[in-house]
Amino acid sequence: MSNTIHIQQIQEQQLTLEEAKSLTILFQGEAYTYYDEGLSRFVFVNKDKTQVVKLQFLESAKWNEEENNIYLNSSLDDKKYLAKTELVDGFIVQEFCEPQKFRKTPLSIPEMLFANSCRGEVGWNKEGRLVCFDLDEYKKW
Amino acid sequence: MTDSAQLQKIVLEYFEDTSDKTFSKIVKAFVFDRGTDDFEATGKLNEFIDDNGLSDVLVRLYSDKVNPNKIFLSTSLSERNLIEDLHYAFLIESFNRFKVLVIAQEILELKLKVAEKKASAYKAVLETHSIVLDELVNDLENYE
Repeated sequence: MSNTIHIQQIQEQQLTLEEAKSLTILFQGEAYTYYDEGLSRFVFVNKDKTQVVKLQFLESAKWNEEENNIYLNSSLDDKKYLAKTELVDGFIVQEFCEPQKFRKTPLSIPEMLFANSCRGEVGWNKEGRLVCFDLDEYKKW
Repeated sequence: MTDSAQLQKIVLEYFEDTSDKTFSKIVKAFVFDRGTDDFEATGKLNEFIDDNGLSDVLVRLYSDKVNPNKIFLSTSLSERNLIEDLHYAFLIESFNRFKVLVIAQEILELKLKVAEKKASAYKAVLETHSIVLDELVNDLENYE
């Protein structure tokens, strides 16, 4: 596998973590590099860190569609606490937010309550707000 | 920093200027659910709860406590865990204050011992001086 690949080609291949980490993907004319991984998806980020793309590596799971539905069906109030999300050609495109697990900013008690209710899947967006980026975890715990 | 450590820091800083006496009443009320008859302690605790957005969680937690057999609790697991961690943070702050008091007590005892030794040394010196003085008076009387 070459190091730069168009995003559509990935669907035809099974990516391993090692491959994902060394990969640059092209999506809508922009280059994305590996950022993080979840249980069933790899996350790639663009160079100016404004957007991420989530790729499923488990075909059985439909987390991208699920995440998009959660965002679409959320109230406006809830959307304030969710990273902006859309589904483009089967891929989740989401506003970039720096995960709290990497940034480790000391949290206030209300922020802690929010972060824990999302199983820690929260990060800081460009506006400096703490938002949930794994929408399936939003206030579930 | 873990959540527990951060909570300890928040409690430490928030109650920095609160006296041990008032803080002990706050702990009794908040951690042990015993209430307080102290206006200052109640006010400070309410202020802490409001400032940290905990009113709603605590009301629901109280409802869960008085109805423990409910199938669906009003609080989430993460909320209950956080309140438990907060209780620990208050108890740890209590222990730290207790430790400071014990150290202060030990310092006081040491100072007292030093003072006693000084006093007994002064007493010995005074007794020596008194003997010398008596001898001098005797000598003076004999001389006359």
